[in-house]
Amino acid sequence: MVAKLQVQNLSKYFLTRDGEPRKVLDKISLDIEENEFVCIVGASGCGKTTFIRSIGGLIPAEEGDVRIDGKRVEGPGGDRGFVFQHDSLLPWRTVLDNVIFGLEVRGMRPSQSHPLGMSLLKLVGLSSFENHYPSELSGGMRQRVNLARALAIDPDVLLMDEPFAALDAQTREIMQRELLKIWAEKRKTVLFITHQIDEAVYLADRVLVFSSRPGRVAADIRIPFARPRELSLKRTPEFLKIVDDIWSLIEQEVVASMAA
Amino acid sequence: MSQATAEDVSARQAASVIPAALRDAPTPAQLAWVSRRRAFMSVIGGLILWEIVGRYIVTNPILFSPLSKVLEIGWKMTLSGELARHFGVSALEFALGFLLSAVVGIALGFAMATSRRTQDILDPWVSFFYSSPLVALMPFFLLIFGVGLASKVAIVFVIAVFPILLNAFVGIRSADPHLLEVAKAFNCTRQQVFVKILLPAALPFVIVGLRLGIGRALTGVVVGELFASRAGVGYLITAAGQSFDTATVFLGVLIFSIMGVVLMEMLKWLENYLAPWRKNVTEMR
Repeated sequence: MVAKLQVQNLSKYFLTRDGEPRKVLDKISLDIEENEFVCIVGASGCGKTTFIRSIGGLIPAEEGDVRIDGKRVEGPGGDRGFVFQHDSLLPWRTVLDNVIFGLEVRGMRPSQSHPLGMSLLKLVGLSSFENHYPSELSGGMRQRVNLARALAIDPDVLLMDEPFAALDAQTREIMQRELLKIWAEKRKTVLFITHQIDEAVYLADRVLVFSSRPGRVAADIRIPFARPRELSLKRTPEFLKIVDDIWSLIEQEVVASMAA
Repeated sequence: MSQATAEDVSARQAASVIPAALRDAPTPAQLAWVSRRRAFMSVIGGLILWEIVGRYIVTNPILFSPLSKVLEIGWKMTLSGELARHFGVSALEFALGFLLSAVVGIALGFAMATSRRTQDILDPWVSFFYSSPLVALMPFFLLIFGVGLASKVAIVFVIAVFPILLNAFVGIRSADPHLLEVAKAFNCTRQQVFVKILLPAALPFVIVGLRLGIGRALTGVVVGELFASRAGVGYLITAAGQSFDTATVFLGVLIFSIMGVVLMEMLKWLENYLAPWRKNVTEMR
């Protein structure tokens, strides 16, 4: 069977200030199965955000290709839903109008999109907030809207670029648990970028470790914990062992990136 | 019924827990009321001072004129219909010139912000004219458009158009790149990006441009009528000045000032109507 999301030999270059091409992603290949939750961790500057942005079609990749259900994709498309690191909600739209943005762009009528948006708001725990403006919401609530907006277009693959990075520690934990709950209900294929190893291990079926300069897949680790997972899982020795193993894989690169 | 009583009791208990210092602190609504009252008293005080100075301190009617005298003349001219005639002329010059500058300014500003080529071509001209004292063009407009309405509309237009244009330009350019990325991720067409992202992002800037434009357009009306005219509030001021009628000069200036204040208030109302999310932001803080 063909994997849901296939990435083959994806390479990406940036031009330095002197006009020299610099490789930031080096022949990355990976397969993600249907309904699989895959996290990518790596030191800052390892190209993980560049990677997910090129999967999402926000920036072009020079070499290699991305396939969804075996079909090659180029540029952004409705088969991928993007959850941004910055909540990126449109400040002039109410919560509901933000959620249905992708549907509106496709020309869906409000009579159809509004009930859909309301059910998604209920899913992310924000019913009764539909008429609020983003400025009236907390950071965690805004990221819920961000997620609902990506889910609204019913994508095959959900691409999440460090969506909880800007949240405080407690809110982040709650959001991780909520995300798993929503994922269990919606059953999406998820590619999730994070720099937090415990977040990756808690959420994922598989954790990919990126190495830096240029970005490569250094390790592919299967996470054995049964679902549904409670937050208390994070305090178990088995969990901490995996986190520790991954940490030792990227420690040198983190130190190197801090020195740089 | 019993539920309501329980709520009352708990509310009273909650109130008794609030520290005295916090309970006695003024609410934002009270503070706003205090601000409004102060502003009102300030205006009243200023008007009274004007009356006192005009009546008892500078008694020479050529040098100064008390408020009561100015209002008296205003009332007389209202009854004779003279004031309405002058005001109508000025208001028409203002309205035509300002609307023209708003339409052209916003259109050119948006065109420059969305097209690199348009920007490259127009940019040197905009910089040149924006930094020129365009009031000096009035004699030229009089020569080609004559003493009537057209020359006034022309001067109002050239004076008001540039701040409107530049703010519209900056507004589009200041759209958050993150939001443009959202538009890209959701596959927006160019037209959708403009209508759903750029336009609302630019709106507050456009309003600022229009606000500056109103002030400059009023100046344009005055300047136009000062140079040469047969009617209008500016003409009224010039004619009164030449016959040492200070009270009427004051009346004319007062009319322009009130026009400015009223137009600014209308713009504020327009902004609240078009951009309710911004009203929310200010209310929150």
